Amino acid sequence: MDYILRTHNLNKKFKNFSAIKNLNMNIKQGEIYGFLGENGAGKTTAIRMIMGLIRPTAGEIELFSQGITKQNRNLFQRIGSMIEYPGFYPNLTAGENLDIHRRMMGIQDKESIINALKITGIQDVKNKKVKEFSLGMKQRLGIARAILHHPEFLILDEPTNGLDPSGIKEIRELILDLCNTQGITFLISSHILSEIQQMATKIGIIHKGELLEEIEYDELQRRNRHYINLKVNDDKKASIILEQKLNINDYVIWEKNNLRVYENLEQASDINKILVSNDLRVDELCVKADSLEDYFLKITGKQ
Amino acid sequence: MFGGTLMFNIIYSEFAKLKKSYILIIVFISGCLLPGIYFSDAITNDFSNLSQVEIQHCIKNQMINVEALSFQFLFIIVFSLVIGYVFTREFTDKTANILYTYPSSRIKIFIGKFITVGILIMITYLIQFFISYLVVYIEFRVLPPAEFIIKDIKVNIYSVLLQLILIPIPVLIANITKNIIIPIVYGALGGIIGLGVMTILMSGSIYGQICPLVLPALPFYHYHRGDPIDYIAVVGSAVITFGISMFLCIYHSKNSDVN
Repeated sequence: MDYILRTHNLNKKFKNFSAIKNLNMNIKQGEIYGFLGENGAGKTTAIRMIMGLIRPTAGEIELFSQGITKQNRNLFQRIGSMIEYPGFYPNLTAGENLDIHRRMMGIQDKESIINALKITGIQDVKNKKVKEFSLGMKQRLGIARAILHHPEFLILDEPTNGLDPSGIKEIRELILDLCNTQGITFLISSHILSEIQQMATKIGIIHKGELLEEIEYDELQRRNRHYINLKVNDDKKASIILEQKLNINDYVIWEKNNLRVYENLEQASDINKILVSNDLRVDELCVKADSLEDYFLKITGKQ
Repeated sequence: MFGGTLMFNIIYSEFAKLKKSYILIIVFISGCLLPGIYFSDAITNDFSNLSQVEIQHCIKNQMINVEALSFQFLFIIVFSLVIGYVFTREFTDKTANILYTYPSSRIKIFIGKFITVGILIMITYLIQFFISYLVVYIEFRVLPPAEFIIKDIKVNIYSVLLQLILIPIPVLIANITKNIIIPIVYGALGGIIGLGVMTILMSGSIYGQICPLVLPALPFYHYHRGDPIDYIAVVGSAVITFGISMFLCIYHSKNSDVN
């Protein structure tokens, strides 16, 4: 599968402070990549490097399988972005701000402005000056600007900042819709775990400038699923009993003599009874589940 | 996109950003200010009993005073403000995050802004030139002789070209500080220094010509006052000023982080 973005050992130092350390990100076409990290973890710095706003101290960035050089800056025509605060020229209207963007991106079609405003649900404010906009409206206009030139890859840095719950829901639905209908690949940074959880197909967890984990959301779900945690005296014998007598195949041997059973959770007492009746010692049997928050805290060493 | 279209779009966008901003008003006012002051002074006087020779003398004096003050004092402040606005607003409005992610290179964006500022400077000169003659005509119902007008056109053209040489200094200050106030402080200091050097030049000394801040006023001294020009000193000063400041501007634009 084609990679939209890859970074290779990306580093950024500000004087003696290492903001980004050996960052290796991999985003494939069609993914919604949730870039998760606390405030100050390095998310925005990494995004700024990807967009060419700041220069890496070391490492390489590949966009659409090409390195960024002076000759291929037109790669940025294929990317839409909203980094940190959505900045606009306050003395101009929403339409005039988008028209500047249209020209700078080399888009001929003036209808693209109306379309972008329609998609984000703010077509009524085309002729309103941006200085009269609320932060939520500016966020929407920022997204409208990011999608105006039909990018293949959208980078949104904290896109739901300043939005009310219904606004957050609408932006989430918009992102999912753009991904599903237009096949746009997303990189969405956030420190709000629940927000990422509801959108992302892949998650990158950054902490103190280091990418600690990059994991498919399905895999994370699998890791975070509810399970029966079993501690027995013989894991091999336990697995034979699970498969042959209980017809359970969705389980893993997590550690020696420690199994995680992901199905038949409601039959925990039956499982216990059958294991014991087959001369196995059951030291522990309980139903557990990890949330993304638990996972994040565990990964970042806070739990 | 072709290079020409791209540059046109950058410059067009820069002018679009100035729409409804106070900068266009400031450019217009600064072009009208000094001729306007002389006009308000003139309407309180009665010139009806002056001879044609005396009227022509008054006209030349008025034109020369307007140009001396604007070239050496007012414009350096106004243009520093214009430059500060054009180059720092991307940071104050937080639009730099999007501007520098366009397919255009940073150098092209810098050149686009530089040309925009240059055009605004030319517009200011044009406004002042036409308003000055309009005011003179309203006051005296007569224009200066063609010979004077041609000489004055030359003064304005050379002055505006020399003014362009000074642009990179406030641009560099604006880009480094990302703050409109500091270029204005530079402009104010430049204006005061310019006035100081003007007194040196008025005394007949040519050493003041080395000061880059008085470059835009030198054509005025040469053509209207007949002062000699030390071309080696002036060209050397202009080349060094423009060369160093432009190099630093381009280096900074290319290599600095956009935060």
